[in-house]
Amino acid sequence: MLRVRFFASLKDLVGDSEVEIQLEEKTSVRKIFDQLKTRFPELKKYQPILLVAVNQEYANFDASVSPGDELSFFPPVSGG
Amino acid sequence: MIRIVETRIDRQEIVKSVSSPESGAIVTFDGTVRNHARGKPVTHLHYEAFPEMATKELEKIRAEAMRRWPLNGMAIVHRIGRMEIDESSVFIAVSAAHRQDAFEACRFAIDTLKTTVPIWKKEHYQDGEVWIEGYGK
Repeated sequence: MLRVRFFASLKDLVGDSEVEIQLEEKTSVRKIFDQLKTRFPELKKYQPILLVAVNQEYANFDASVSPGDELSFFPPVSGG
Repeated sequence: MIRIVETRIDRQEIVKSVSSPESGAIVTFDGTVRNHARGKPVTHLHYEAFPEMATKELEKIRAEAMRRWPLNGMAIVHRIGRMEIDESSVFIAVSAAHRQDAFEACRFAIDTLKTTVPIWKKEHYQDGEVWIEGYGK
């Protein structure tokens, strides 16, 4: 199982702050994102700008994820 | 002191947390809610965080600043939730023996926070609301 979290505008777009994905073996963030895009097609337009974190550390689409990991997607930050 | 809080920011407490007899300067940055943005009146703001990761990223900023400048202390507190005009959304306090180091480190902290710490702002107007997206890492 893989826990996938969304924040801010991405959370609104997906309609949920997190989803669980069945995951048996190590894969790439890109593959997970492609899977999510078929489920939430609106995610596509965010692909060029969104940020990725694996286990709460910044990562990228080429990073790998394993069962039990936490993957997060969010828009560029705007705190301060 | 590194904190994400949901209530009003206590500036005095934060300044006190970095004060020390060895310091000749405490520089602070107070980020406040402005009543307009992009030519539109803003009624209030709402901030959301990825709390666990935001805390980690704030810790990294402090560690990097302490490494780069001879500081005595750095505190960063960011508030989340609804904030009214004029309220503080973020407060940074930096102490050092000399003011230049404190000024530079404080500027580094707020500038870095705005690009790396996973917190987002939603602007509310009379006729709607919009998530503000930054420029990325």
